[in-house]
Amino acid sequence: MKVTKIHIQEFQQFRDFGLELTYPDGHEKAGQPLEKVCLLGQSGTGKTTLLEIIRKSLQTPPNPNNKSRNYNSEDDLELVGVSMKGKSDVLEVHQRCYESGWKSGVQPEDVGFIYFPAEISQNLNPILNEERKVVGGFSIHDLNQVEIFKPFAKKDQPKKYNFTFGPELAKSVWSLLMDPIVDYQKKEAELLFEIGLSTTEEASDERLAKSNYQNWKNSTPNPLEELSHECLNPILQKMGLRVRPKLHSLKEVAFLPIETLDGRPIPSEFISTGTKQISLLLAPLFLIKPENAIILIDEPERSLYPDIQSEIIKSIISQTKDSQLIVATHSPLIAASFDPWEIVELKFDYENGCVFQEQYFEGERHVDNYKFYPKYLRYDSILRKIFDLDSDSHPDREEKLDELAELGAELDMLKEEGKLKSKEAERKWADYRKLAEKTDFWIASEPGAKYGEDK
Amino acid sequence: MERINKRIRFSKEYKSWLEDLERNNLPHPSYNSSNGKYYPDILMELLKIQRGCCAYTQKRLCQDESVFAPQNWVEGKYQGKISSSYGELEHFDEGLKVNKAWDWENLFVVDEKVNKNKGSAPVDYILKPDLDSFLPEDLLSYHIPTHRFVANPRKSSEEKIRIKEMIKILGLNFPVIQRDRGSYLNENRKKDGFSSQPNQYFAAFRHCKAKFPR
Repeated sequence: MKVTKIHIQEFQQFRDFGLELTYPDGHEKAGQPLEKVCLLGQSGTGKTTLLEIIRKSLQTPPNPNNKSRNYNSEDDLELVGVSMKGKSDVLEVHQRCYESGWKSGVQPEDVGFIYFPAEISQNLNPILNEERKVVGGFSIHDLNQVEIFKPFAKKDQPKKYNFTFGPELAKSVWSLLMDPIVDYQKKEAELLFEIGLSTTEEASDERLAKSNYQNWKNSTPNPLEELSHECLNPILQKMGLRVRPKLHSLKEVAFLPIETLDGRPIPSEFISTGTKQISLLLAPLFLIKPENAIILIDEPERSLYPDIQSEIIKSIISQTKDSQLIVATHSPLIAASFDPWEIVELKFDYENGCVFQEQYFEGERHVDNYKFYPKYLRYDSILRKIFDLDSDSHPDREEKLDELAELGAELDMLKEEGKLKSKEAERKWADYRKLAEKTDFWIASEPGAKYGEDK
Repeated sequence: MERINKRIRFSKEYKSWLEDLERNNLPHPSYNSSNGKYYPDILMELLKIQRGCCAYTQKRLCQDESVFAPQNWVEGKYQGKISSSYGELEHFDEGLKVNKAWDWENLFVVDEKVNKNKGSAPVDYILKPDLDSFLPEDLLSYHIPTHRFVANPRKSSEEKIRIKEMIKILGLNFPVIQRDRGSYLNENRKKDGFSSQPNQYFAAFRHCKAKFPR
């Protein structure tokens, strides 16, 4: 299931607001739902509100009075007629929203859906503070706390998930995700214990116990090793860190065993916000392996250095299958991962007190009619063309460039007066070169040369 | 910048309305309340005088010359269509906006971003484009490598400070404009060495052409 259309009749700054979330004409997937969407816009334009509207629509039970059952989980979801009624601080899904939007019969847990709010790094505190119930020496989660997550917990049913990964559910969600890792460690401990016991028995018993252990190791992938090698370590390595593929104690089950590349463990209180962000974003996706799901992420760039920001969307998508990713961001590096038809830029309409979508195409909505291709632009061009940043640099640099131009004009004047060899000109030329170096501005090697440009 | 020779030729209804106000010493209606009345007439009359360009930066605002054809004015009022890309009416001296909101002498058409940049900053008439005393070539120099206007280095220190401040207020080196102007002039240099007629940034174009005679 993917969202193809959203129409908001009236809610906060949205007024008769429509979004078309399909590939444009001329695209090989024309008319099909977008696989990824990037929401941009000045703070306050409503990016997070849009994510919340989608979340609310996907997590609100359908109208029980609607008895028709023509819903197909493969259907695309048109949130047409989504009517959010409300007071400024309360989102309230109006009844007819899901009558038209949900079609009928669908239950929230039928939809693969995960929402990562912007503050996910704060999830680590409840995860670390969890007092786990201990059963048979191993921790176990309390399923009753996770109503919305129940279908995922029932192992005899297809994996479905519909949850918001916020502080309220953080520890429960995390516990469920860590189940396979705990189970693996438990099994390994059992088999090693049997080997230990067998050393006092016949040699054949010891061989059998060792063989059992080896066979199990060969046939059972270590989920923590997979998580570290296939998902987290390629990115954590940029921070000089990695996830150790083996737990040293069950206390480490609370989160993940993070260590430096030379093997020094990082105590949980010293784990950086960026490490938390990456781990709490990618690990759930890796462990759930969302398929045909809708994934919302608010500000995936939080606490991440630019080199990681430029790769994060690719990393997220690599953990999903046939899913729809919708992110809200302020980062040009994130925006660079999207095609222009995948970008929804919200702008204020000051006159009418509402927001509108800035269109990137002229004429027909066709791939050939798009003005900007963020993927093919330099990051500074994205800032100018997509994020509408007027300046190239800090205002102080503009001041310095004015000074540079004044010095240049004075040198031009001295050249016209035939005084280019004078002491005054030499001094100005030295100042000019120094200022050009300071402002990273390329100049020709000779005074009075014709052209220069930004490096 | 260039000197702008302002004369109302087509918007005759606005002209007589304004003359009537002046003759009878009547207050001007506030700017917002009558935006619809003579706004298009003034905008298009000025834009025609300004050769389709921003009064201060000379960035081109209107590509289609046909919108200035005399037949677009019927009985002294502009009847053609107006695009939001044609720029905005701007009060050179914001201080006059309260009592003389529709004063012809104080109005210019400028690029939207230039207008926003200028805001309500107090102005120095040293760079008022329509004054007879305004001699842009004497006041301003153009530094080609940085594509920035600066005060003529031959002026006095006191004048240079005044000019510099006005360059900033009028947005002559506003980054978006400066970048666009640099690109336009570099393209012209590569194309034919400034041989063809420019359709914007006329003053900067002349500076470049003088520096690089063919």
